[in-house]
Amino acid sequence: MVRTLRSVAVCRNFRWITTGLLLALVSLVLCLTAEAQQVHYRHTGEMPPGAIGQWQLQRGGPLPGYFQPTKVQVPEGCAISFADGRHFDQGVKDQRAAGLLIGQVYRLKITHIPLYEGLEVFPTIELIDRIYPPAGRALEFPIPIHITRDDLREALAGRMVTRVFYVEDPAHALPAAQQPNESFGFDVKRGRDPLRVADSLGRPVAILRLGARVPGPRGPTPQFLFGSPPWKKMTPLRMPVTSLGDSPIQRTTTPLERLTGK
Amino acid sequence: MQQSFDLPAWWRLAVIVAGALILCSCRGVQPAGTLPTGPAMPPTALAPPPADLPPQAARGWAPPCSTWSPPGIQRPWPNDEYIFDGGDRERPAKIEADWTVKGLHLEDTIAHFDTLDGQTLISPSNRVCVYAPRFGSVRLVLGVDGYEGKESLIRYDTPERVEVREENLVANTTLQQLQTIRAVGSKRPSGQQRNSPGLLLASDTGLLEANGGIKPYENFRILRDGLYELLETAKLAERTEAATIWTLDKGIQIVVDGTPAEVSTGDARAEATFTVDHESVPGLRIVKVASKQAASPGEIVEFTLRYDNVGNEPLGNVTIIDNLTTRLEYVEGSQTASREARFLTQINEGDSLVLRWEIMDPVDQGTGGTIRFQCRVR
Repeated sequence: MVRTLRSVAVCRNFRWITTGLLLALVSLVLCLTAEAQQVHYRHTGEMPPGAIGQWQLQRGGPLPGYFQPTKVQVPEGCAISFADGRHFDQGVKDQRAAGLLIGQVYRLKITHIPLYEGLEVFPTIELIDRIYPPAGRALEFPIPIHITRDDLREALAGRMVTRVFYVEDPAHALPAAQQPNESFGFDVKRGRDPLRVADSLGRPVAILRLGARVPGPRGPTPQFLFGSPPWKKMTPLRMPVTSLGDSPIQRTTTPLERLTGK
Repeated sequence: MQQSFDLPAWWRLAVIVAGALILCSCRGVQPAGTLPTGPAMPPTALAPPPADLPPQAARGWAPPCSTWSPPGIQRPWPNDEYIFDGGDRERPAKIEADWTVKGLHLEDTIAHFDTLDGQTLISPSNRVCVYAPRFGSVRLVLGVDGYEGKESLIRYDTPERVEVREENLVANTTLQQLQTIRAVGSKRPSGQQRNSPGLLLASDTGLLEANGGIKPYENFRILRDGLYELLETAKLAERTEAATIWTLDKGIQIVVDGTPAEVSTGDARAEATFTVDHESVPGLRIVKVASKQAASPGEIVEFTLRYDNVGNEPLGNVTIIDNLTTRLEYVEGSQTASREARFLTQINEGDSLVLRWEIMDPVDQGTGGTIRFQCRVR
């Protein structure tokens, strides 16, 4: 008995064909509905420090091993110290540039806070992405990490501040002038994810966390310093004049040496 | 016995339609940053250069913005760190009968011109980019804002007794006579240390500003006297590239005798020649340079426009229009023109300004002028 091609292609039971087609149509509708949502957020801003950065490293690309130039800026008069081993290094006033690794968590110490003398804040910085400036001009375009007075005041009051920095989407750029050493900032209400809001405005690159956590009486522990990941000392090309007062050139002779003449 | 399953026609049609729908729904995901394919250079940019220019000087070739991109993704990458300018995105621009431009979007750069047979044609420019990332931040504050509790006084009992307390203090003061064994006096310093700055630093004084002449970044012969030198091609290409990346949708437009001039070879190059269609050969060349090739928010960039009549007859009603991008803010009162010109501004859709210079006197053959203005980077 020879069957025609048509008889081979068609099943004996039409109910199976109908069921299959209905399943295909339902799958198609579900796929189109899921595509309309477009984005499935895998991370949230409430994840522990380092989690998002490590996920980013697993995606591959030119992220591992790259020291992203970063400029940390604090209110005038404050001093910034980076964790170096088990201790914090000498503080630098107003702003400081350093090359940080993607996915690592860096603990900072901020001292000499105006109106809060004697108090210290220990924020963390986590880079979750990098930028790609032209070759040889990376120091001209560091990622700016701005810590405002209000951030420090909230942290000293015992609150947890999470600030997500992002690269602004030029297609939706604000037609407002941005002053030097300033950046646009927005506050989100409770219950909203700052990482998701930042993703809607641009591409998140860094997360700053400030709280009331301080090292123990025996000093900072490796857990507190997140293992003190390596970082590079860098000097921004556009250094303000106010920071020249702490340059080592003016401290080659101490007042005692001037008196003794040695 | 041969079995036959003849299906109705409507059922076969339904199967074909369902299969087509399923196949059409299988779309490949376009990677982020992929740019739509299309001609990289507009036809006008590939036009033959004038006879006195080398080919590379007149084609407006723009180098790639970045030297690396992930495999399969076109440069420049990533897009959010660059400001793009030029081309004709989305719907093509259209010129109405009353010279109204429709379909002109942000980042578009087009040139429209009329032909002898009365047609109005549009020619988009190439797409240029500048590395200028801008950052923002989103903050979330969590913590205990307030405490509300109910506390009431249940009982308070303070027994107090009368106590008699007596305390006897014995005088225990002791005086000890000490004799002065040495005297402490103040002496003036016997030595003085003086720190003097180096002599070489004292003579390290640079030129801050030059008024009335050619500025350092304008030191090209084409800006000084309107003559083009081949030796300046490379440096001039850098300056003009920095200038063209800041222009928006209209770029530089020249109007001669009330007729919009046609740009013969595009404006993203060292020099541009604008011509009007007469029996003679009139021509207006305009050169635009910028004082900086990279700038951060808050910095001021100075632009210089040099225009020359390279034709064989005087040109009248020369009008130069520059449409600034959103990230550029014109510094009020900073524009200067070597020739008498009427300066007009108009707010554009990018919350910036359209700058317009109307040269009052005709530009004679072989003469030209210079226009300078400053912009602050937002």
